[in-house]
Amino acid sequence: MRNLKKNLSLLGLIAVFSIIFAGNSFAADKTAVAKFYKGNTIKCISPFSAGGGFDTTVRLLAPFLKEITGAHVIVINQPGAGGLIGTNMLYASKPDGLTLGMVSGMGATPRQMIKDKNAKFDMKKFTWIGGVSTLEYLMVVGKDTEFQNVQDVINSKRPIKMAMGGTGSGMNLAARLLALALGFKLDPVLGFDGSSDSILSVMRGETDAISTDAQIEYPGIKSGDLRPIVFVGNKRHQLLPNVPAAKELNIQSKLGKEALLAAINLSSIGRVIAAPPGVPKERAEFLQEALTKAVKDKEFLNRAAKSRLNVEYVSPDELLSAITQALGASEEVIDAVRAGFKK
Amino acid sequence: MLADLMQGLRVFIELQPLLYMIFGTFFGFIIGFIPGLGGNFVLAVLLPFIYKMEPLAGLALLIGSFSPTPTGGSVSAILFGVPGTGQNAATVFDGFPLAQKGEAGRAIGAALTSSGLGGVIGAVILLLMIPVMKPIVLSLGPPEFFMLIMMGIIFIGFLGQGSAIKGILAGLLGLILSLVGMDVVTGETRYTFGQLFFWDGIKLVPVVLGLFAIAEMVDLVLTGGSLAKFDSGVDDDRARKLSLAAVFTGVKDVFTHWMLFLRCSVIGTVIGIIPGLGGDVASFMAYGHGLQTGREKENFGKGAIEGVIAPEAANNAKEGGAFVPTLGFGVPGSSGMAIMLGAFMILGITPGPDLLNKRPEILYGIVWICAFSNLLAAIFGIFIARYLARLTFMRGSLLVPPVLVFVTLGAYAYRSTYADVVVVLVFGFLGWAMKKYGYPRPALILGLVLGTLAEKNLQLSLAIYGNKFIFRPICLGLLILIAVSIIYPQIRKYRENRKGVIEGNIP
Repeated sequence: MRNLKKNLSLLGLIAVFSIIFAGNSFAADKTAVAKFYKGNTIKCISPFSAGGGFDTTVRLLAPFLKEITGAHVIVINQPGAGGLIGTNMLYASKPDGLTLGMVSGMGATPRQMIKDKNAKFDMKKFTWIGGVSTLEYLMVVGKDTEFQNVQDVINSKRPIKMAMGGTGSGMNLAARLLALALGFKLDPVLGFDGSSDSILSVMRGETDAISTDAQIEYPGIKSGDLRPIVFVGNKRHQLLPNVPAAKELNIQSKLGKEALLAAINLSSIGRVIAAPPGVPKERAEFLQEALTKAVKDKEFLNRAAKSRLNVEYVSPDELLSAITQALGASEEVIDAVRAGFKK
Repeated sequence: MLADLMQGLRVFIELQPLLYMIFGTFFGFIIGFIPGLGGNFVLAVLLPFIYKMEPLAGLALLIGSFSPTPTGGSVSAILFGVPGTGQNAATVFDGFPLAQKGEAGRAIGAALTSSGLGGVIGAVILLLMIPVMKPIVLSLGPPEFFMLIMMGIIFIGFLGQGSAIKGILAGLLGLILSLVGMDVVTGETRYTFGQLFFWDGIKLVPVVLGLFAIAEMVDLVLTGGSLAKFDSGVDDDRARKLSLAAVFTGVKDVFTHWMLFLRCSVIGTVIGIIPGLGGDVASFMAYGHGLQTGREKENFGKGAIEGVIAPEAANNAKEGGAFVPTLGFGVPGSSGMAIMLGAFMILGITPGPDLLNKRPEILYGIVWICAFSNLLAAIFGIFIARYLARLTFMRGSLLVPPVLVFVTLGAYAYRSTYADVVVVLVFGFLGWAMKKYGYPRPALILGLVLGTLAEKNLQLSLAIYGNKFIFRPICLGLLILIAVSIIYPQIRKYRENRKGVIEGNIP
């Protein structure tokens, strides 16, 4: 009896100790990671040149990540080949948790959908840290076109001339998926320098429409030169409550539904922070936690609002599911994407 | 308007914006001087600092540092043949030969005066254009751009320095090189040899660095002596060429050629106003114009002061123009302006009618900042020019190593890739050979820059209008202008010959 008691209390003691120890070792893990980052340098690769939307996002985020992680955060611009060079470089870099990068959902995912051999990465294998901002594609038409609303576009007898950047640009892919989803005939006009150049073409009346970032189109919409007709999303855009979201249009065809889902998935991946595959779990978790803190920071949100950056945190799990869905799209949808890369 | 203009000035000269502008101007000048880093880099670096600033203070810092970058870049273009920014590439053509003649001081004086005053003209045109800009901006599209670029391509023929065929050959090589990269319309990759690096084509900056800076350094090593030659027979020749007076000769040159200067400022501003043509083109078009209207064409490429005045007036005036569509309806006129547009948002300024009608102090403040920062950078540069010019009289063995380091860093910093350093070396040897056998290097560069743009705009024109694009009124007008500029010199030559025959001067 006494022995039993003794044994029990011994067991209890062990249990208590083991709990304390486990807790300790857990805390020790955390402090070890924090210690690793403190004073160390995190490189953050931006696959586009200084000054663009991606660059602005990462430079806006850097000081907050620095404060939270205790590490120095430096931004490295590695532009080229529509972001492929920077993204390939990020994927191949050392997975020590000290190299991060921006990945463009709309730029990188379609490359893998069409199995482009120049894309030397697997979107499913990146160590995702989290999405910072989603892309908001909005289709606008010129004020002098005959299209008053989205139904006019859908019912149009003639093909819609849409201005866009080069092959493989986000504008191009968004337009093709949207045309497939709504069922209108597209006449793509490729080769403009970027969003502003394309918008100007719509204002001149050379082309009918464009689908690009809502924030960039906003000044033209406000001045009445551009007429917004449909927002590529599940919900309406907060700045434009009178413009229908594509989801509301009750698309009936199976292919249309799939195309819209692909467009929404790709834009929800948006601007993402990632690390190469195989970063040690505790470091990845540390970075993920740091990012969730940074994107909730009041000052960060304040600055983002001022630069008209649409902050929307997307968790690594949500990212992975959007990527898996996008990569698993049907052959017809992938064909539409492929058309965006070749004339 | 005058009252608003004064109000803008009053707000601007309050201490804080003024101090920010002065700091920005020095910062921008120095960054411009360093090759590979340009105006966009300056903006990207300074952007995070403006979140808590007053609108005008933030603008003073950004515009103050952005505007004078091509001013700083002209100095390195002249001294070492290393264009500080892409926009200074055309300045190398004549600025660098001037430095080799020992006239770096004069060339810098002319470049800076032209830059500073060109910036002011750009600001003035900005002010005058704002009420009427929209129809002008919207009347020019890809077909008109294509014709404008064709005008530029015609200039290549004039660059032959006596041998038109060599000029055309060099120009054709440039056009062929411009085909490298991904065709944005068809997605085909051309001459890329399976390398992602070539997808974006062969870029201007590494080519200019190679063709001029490397080629000249190789030449300097082979010939010995210093970069600048001076008449050692004359006692004070070196001292004279390094004096402040020499720099002021350059300042005076701009006023002697004031019509050219004015026309090139206007060319620069107009190209700035048109989004989609890009900044590098402004200085090349102005250079071409200077060449076409210049009296002594054979001097171009060998150190004609007009060849320095023309591009420098245009590249600073350009940003005044680029502000027009940016402020007017939120469509940035250049890649730098796209970043600037982001800055406006951060500072709580919405471009468009709101800004023009409700916040005139911001609008006129921008005009003042543009004008003052350009002038300040020029004045600062003019007073240090004579000391900088000494570098060109340094012994080659002392000068070559640091310049090579400078060039390599510039080539690398441009796109953070070593492949560009290789491009620089390859073009270095090509440039050396071209110099030796009398092929004009500017023709190659003009072909490279204009080829890409011509192709892109031709494809867009055809996609939008089909073959009929050529009959658009402005297009047709430009086409006639091109025809005249080819035919007229021939007629003049024919007439002069006949006159010569009649007067018996020509046997």
